[in-house]
Amino acid sequence: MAVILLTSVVLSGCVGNSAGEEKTDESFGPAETGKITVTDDLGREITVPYPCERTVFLVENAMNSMYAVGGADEISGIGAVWYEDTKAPFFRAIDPSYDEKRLSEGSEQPGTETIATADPQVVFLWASDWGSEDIKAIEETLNIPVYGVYIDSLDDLQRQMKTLSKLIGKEERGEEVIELMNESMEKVTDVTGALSPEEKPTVYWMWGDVYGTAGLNSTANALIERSGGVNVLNSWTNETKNVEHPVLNLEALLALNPEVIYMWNNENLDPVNITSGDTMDGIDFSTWNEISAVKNGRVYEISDPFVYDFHSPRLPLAMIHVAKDLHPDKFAALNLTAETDQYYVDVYGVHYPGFEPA
Amino acid sequence: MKFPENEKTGYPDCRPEIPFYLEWRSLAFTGFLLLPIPVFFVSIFLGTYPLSPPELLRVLLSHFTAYEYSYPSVYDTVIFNIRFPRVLLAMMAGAALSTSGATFQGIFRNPLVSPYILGLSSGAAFGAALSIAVIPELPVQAGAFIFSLVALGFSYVMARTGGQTSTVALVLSGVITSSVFAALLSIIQFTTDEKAVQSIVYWTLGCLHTSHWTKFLDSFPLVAAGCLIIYLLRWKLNVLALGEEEAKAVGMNVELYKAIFLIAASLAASAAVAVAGIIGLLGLIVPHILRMIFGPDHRKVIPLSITFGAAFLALVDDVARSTFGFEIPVGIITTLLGAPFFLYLLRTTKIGGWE
Repeated sequence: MAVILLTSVVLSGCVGNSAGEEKTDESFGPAETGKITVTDDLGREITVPYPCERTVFLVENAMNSMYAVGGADEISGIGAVWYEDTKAPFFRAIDPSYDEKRLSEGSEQPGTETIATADPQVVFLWASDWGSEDIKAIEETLNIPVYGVYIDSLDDLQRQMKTLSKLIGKEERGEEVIELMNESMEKVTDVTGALSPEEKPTVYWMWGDVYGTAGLNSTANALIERSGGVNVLNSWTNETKNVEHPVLNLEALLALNPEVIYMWNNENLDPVNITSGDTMDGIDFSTWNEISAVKNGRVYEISDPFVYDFHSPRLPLAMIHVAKDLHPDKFAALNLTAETDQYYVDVYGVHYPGFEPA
Repeated sequence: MKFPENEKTGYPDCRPEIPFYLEWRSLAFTGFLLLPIPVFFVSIFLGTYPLSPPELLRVLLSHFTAYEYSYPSVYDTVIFNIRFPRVLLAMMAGAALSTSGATFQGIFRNPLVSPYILGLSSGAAFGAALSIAVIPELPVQAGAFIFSLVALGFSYVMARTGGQTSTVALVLSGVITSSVFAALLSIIQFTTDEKAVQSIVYWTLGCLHTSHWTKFLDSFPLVAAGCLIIYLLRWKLNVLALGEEEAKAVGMNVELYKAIFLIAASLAASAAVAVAGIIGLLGLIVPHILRMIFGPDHRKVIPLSITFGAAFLALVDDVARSTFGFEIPVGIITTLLGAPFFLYLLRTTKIGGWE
């Protein structure tokens, strides 16, 4: 308890609380004041010491961005990591201190006392609203500002990367990574931008809950469009199509009749289960046989949810992955494995697969 | 005017006798018994797929009669593989939960009892969560069904002492069992990923959007068996509802019949919950609505619970699947529709038969 109190007192002395402060567009005063005020993904302003040297990530997507902008040394604590067994080799390769920074095991989130042991100047936490109880708990008990992470577009992702690089004083590297992302995406968009509307297939994006899909205001929607497809929800009359994760039913899906079904990686379900009309997870996929995508065998899946995580700087790789499936003839020359390897080298300094130092 | 003489009293009857078939309760009784038929036909006309009623009618005619009509094959999928099994599954779950609720209320002589009193829903939710998040090889329906029965068995064994199973002990052991399985469910939800938690929550809210023929056919024998046993022995529930001492006084083997009713009601409810998720309030309100209208006699309440429960849930599911264009878990609608209606009946009538 003494440690926490001491930590809290020390932190409260050097960290300002954003509440009630005047709103600014981006950030101000890094060199002059030794502090920087930034706007988080929720639109809240937070003020942290500049350059920020100790950050705790309770959200993995943003942590990937921090590593990409060269912030490995500035990460002092790491919370939940889903399916850690598959990801740990990568994180260890790009950050030798990864294991020491872990504040919890697997997908468990650490408690506030454990977070305090990492002596953070800012904590990154996934939150979709200002009133998040988790944010309040950390801010009020530890007196540490919390950066609310929430991404639902490509712009959000790049803005977040800029902000992270600014926090740690590595703006140049941030710009460099954003440039790398844009260059990789242009390999796709230069081709798909020239496609006629008739050449773009309608796509049903299938999240893990099967009838949950990508709304018109979502990163997955941007991914589909830039990869040369059209989100099938454009033809849906229901107003919920504009939310991030709308849920359809089978009749609505049959009526929309997508030409392509693109699945997010699903451990319990493969494209072949859908095209074969199997019954999986209580869903009888033989009732999907009338859907154009199923009839034509155009059901695809993101093969690796980590490597092609499009809420992370690896979004361009996901775009190449999807574009190759949507337009195999137009992207035949683009080698996904080679592109992935080069991207990993450029962004993280390691090869893929294997994560050998470049 | 001369009134006919009453056979029992010998005095003239001032009110002319109303034929049985014209009495409103008898008409209502017949109407409620037959309700599933019109509800079924209305329900198959509803859905989000744009299929006009005349078109649907032509498809039905061409399917069941010699009438010839050419139509896209997707219509067959929508009508016969989506709407038919879904409406039938909703009806089956509604019948099972209502009948089970009426039975439990009779046995426990308590109007607040629902089919979930002995921990059935908590056990089923735990089983479903186990399947969704921990053992994907175990089908969700099987997990839910197995653990709902485990929970029931656990409650029953805990309550049974010295060859007797007192009602109070059963209720208390049901509360304990529910708490234990709720805690186990929380552990799974706490340790699993976001998507799995979402699936678990969706399942626990009760949803029929994944209905298909196999689900219906797998669960139908168990539901039918449970409901049939209760239906055939329904008059014994009247005796049990008098109280255990009174039932023993008239020579009834109380322990035997209590066990039979518990097993039959649990079997039907477990099979329904396994395929439809946890549908709240239905098993509580349907029997009460019926008692308020037709009185407490289980000889009427049980068959009406089967038919009215079936029609009620099918109609509620019509709202859930057709009104918004996307799926609202049916359990939410049963609660939102059922609670105010129940409140209205509660305030305007006596608590049908319990007072």
